[in-house]
Amino acid sequence: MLRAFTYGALIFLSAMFILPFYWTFITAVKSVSELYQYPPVFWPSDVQWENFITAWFKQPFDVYFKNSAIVVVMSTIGQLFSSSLVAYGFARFHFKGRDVIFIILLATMMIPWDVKMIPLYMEFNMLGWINTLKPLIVPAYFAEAFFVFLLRQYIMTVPIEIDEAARMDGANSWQIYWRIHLPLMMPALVLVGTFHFMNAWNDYLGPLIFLNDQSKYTLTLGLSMFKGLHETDITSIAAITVLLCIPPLILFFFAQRYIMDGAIGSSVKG
Amino acid sequence: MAGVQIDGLEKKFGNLRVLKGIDLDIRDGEFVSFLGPSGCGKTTLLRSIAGLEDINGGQVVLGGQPISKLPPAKRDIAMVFQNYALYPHMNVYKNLSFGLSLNGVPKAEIEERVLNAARILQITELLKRRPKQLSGGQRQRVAIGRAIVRDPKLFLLDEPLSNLDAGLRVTMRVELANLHKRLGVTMIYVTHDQVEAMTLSDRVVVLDQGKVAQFGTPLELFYAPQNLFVASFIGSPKMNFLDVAAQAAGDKQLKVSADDLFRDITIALETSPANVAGPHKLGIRPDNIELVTQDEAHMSGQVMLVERLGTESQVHIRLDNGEDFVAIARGTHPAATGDHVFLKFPAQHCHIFNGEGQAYPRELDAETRSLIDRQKSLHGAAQKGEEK
Repeated sequence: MLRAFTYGALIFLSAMFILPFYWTFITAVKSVSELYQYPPVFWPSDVQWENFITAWFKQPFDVYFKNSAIVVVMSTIGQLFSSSLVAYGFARFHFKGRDVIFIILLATMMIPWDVKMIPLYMEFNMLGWINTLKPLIVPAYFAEAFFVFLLRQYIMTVPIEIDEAARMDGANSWQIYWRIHLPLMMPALVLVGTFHFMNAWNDYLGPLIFLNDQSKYTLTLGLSMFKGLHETDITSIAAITVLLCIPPLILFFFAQRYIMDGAIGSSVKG
Repeated sequence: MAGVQIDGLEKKFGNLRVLKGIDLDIRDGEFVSFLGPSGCGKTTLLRSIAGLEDINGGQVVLGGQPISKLPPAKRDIAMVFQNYALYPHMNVYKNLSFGLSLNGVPKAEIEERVLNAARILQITELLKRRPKQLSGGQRQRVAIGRAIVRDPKLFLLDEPLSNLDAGLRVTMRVELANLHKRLGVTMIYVTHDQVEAMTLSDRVVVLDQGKVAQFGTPLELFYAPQNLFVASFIGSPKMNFLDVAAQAAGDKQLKVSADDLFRDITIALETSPANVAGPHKLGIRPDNIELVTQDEAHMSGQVMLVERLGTESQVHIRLDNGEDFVAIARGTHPAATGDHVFLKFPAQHCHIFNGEGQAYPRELDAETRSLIDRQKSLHGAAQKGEEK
């Protein structure tokens, strides 16, 4: 009885979560006549796959996609490299004020992005980076507090004797980071990479503030503009939205094992 | 290969002096163990030799070269860690070759040295496995292999057998002894297990609170401990002690008396004692106590517990003065809990310590003396052989 109730509740909740996605998807492949039909159609009689292609070419989404890809790939590389390096420093080096600096670093997580928005704009404006992709990429090369915390906890689970053994073998600190810790923290790096990828891919406010020219737009900004221009073209909006969801879904599909292990592992060990 | 000289080594953690002026002279090719209770500084001493700890004073010389200021990798020392410290993401081959590849050794030579070490340790078939696919004993072999491939002047081993089960520990102990014989390299071994130290070592350094309590052959430590600490630390069950008074009794002899002793004990010494004033302690090992009749006894007491171990029985006795003693009797000795027993302390097995806890060197019986001399001479011969 209890089991039946549990399954019933789980199915109900799953349906609640899946329904919006499902509705977006079938909206994307419906014909115009079925779109406003009442009672609503839960599966279109004639699936319009070409809606995706039509929608894609209504705006220069290939340009937006290229920009998004550049931002996401470049900033993810930067984030993985910088956060892991800073985490290694905090986990393995003893220097004066280390713990205080680490706490200050963690405290920066409390500052909302909205507060930093204007100073950042002024800073990037001064550097001449407005209307370029640099403000969306370069900050990732200076590590992020949450990822540093996550990776530091991960490194601290590795016995210090492994570092010492490598040191006895002739490795210097850089080689220990590069050849020992980086491969060892691969599960945590996948987790960090996925998180950052999602953030960068879905980022709307950053591109909105720093980018002016349409040729520099990312997908989220492009979609927003598309909505403004084609407010009544529900099918195309749904089609682009579905397409936007695909890369994160693919990434999550391949990374889910690491994400679950990493999230659970860090919460238990940390 | 090379000997190790340690002069006045000091190490502090904050204000805490962990190593208090250690002086040691370890000979070329010798197997030396650092033995002591937890917190005595044995691992810190080993790590200081390795260069993993910065020292606060003194120096370490390896093969005639001062190495105290060199980084660990430049010291020509290999270390085997307690928890093996294998690189989890590398297979056995890469674990063994990592140090060589870092040091720019040509690929062909790396392969030759790795395969040679693998053959010595019988791990050739494991070369493609990751550490997590190995048993404890196999991991231990790989950790030793990682040291062998580097062909170092000195091996440091930090409690390498402590993570193994009892059976495997015995097997690995024998393998380590054979490996030392085969390689002939100087080895320093840290352990808190005195059986390991006594069976493997040419000489043992007993450490107490950051100082060398005694440095000698295993038999010297057992039969001629220089102080109370070594006397009580070496041997299981521990040596029994009794507060006594002492007085010189002729040439090279000391007469020991106490209110609780039925009769005095006269102990033969190597030299005549200079000053015998003040309180003393009489020490006697459990296996040297004899359970006798009242006529021959030095003390008596009540049996509190008898532990039957088959070949021997450990008899726990509360003496009439309230002290607890352990005596070892034969396995089938009829003593039972509650019995009143009489104890004899044969003079030739008694140790005597002054108020500062220093032992008076006692005269050993001919058999023990010859055994100790033989152990020393065996080691000396080995040294000379290697020098040639």
